[in-house]
Amino acid sequence: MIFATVLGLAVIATLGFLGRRRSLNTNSGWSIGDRGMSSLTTFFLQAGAIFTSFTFLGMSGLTVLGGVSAAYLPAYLVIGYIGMFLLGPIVWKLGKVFNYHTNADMVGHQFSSPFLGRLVAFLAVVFFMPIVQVQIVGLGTMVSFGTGYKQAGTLSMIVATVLILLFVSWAGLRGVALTAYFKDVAMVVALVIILIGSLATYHAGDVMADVMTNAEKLLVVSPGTQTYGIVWFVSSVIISGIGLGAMTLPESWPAVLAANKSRAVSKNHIMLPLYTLATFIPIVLGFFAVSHLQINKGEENSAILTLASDSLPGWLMGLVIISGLACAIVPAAHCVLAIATLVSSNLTPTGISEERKLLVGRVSSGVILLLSLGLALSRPDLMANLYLLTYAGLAQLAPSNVLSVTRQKFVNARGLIAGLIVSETVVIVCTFGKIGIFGLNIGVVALVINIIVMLAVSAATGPAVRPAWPQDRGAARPSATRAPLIADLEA
Amino acid sequence: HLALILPIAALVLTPFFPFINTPASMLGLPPILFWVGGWAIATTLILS
Repeated sequence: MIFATVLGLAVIATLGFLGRRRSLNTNSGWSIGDRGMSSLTTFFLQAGAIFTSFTFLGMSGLTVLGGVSAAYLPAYLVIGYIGMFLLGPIVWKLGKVFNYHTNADMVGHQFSSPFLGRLVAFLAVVFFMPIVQVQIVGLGTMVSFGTGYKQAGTLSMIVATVLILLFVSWAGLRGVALTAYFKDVAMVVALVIILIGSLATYHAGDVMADVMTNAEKLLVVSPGTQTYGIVWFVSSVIISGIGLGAMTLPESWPAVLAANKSRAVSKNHIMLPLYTLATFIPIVLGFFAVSHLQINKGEENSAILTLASDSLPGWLMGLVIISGLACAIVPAAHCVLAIATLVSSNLTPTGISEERKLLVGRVSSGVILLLSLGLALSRPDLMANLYLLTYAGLAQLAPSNVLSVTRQKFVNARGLIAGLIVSETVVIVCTFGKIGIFGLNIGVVALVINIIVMLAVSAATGPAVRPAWPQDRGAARPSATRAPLIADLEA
Repeated sequence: HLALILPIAALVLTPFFPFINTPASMLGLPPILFWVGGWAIATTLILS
């Protein structure tokens, strides 16, 4: 298993380094591949961003704990892809016209408010950071399990972090894309191998019969407001679907903006719902684990690895570990790149050169990775608590993202800022204060408050200042070497 | 585009369909998996 771990890290890092192109010496080349990636490449990037070590480990663990409620994940993914099918092509076009690199670029510019842009970037960075740490911890869990040594897991987390830092800095989004090709195929192959091994070892027909006899409650979404109940399922599907569909996850943006044409963006979101069917395999494996394994409290996420080690020969288990490593490293690299682009584009002083932005992006990717690694090793509880906020917090960016691609003027920057501040406060207070509201996902409650505050403040403060659309000003695109300025649009 | 309301509503309201949210077994699997999987395929067809 140690050999498989070393081989896996070497293969993924090599693919990452091979992705480099000459154009990567520019900020656009590094962060969004110079908007020149094919439909197939961006498909793998998008699939790679969503299917992570959580899909690989956490889905089976969630099934062990909540049974069929784990189906909330494919349900919200399908809804999210519908939203991105509608929004993605417009975002791509606006991005090309106005030279956007992030959602904060778009929101800040479309509402003529640099402060709103910075606020969106800051919130996106804070709420998205835990995703990186979760991938690093997932990687350590897999290696510790595979080798049987906890120290091997810790060492692999450090080595993987350094490798991610090197290939993200060196090859940017194109490096991530090349590793995504490998990872997206390897993940499905590994899941199928584990499923076949489990079917051969445990015999399929007995699985559901065992579950029905011993854990029938896992086969229904229970009524009531408890965790994994109906209210939890419905509100989690709604808020996660809105979060993904309104492109509030920073990782959604590089893959969309990197496409070489808007049709490529549309086409990807037609096929992505089919790819979500892959998430059913870990759910089925979770039921295998319920009926055949004795799982201790807190070890639910290792259920799929236990099944694999019990039913597969060593060399196949090695392949599973390599695939699992890819499921952690590739999304972590993609997330780091997205966060670093937000920092370099929106959280730096205005007017800095493109060369300086590229440098800031590379340096901040290192800072983000090392911070995530440090917290993963020393304070895993801190990031685990923040992870609870991720989707609920990011979903509050949905109104600003969606309204940015319309030409409405009723809602203005002040309304969006007030709504964001109030709703994020509600999310943080209710999550850490453990305040439940009828069992609803707190993101739904906060989003309703967000919209009410946004409309009230906008009504009180007058229409928005929106930039002229290109045909209104008879001008071409603002210079690609700097962010568009309001002065450009009024000229 | 109104056709997109169907999969969204069906997926959000999954637990409220009594013939889906039941401990029965279809081909050895919970019916919810067939329901969500079926709507994933239907969504691809509608988007196409």
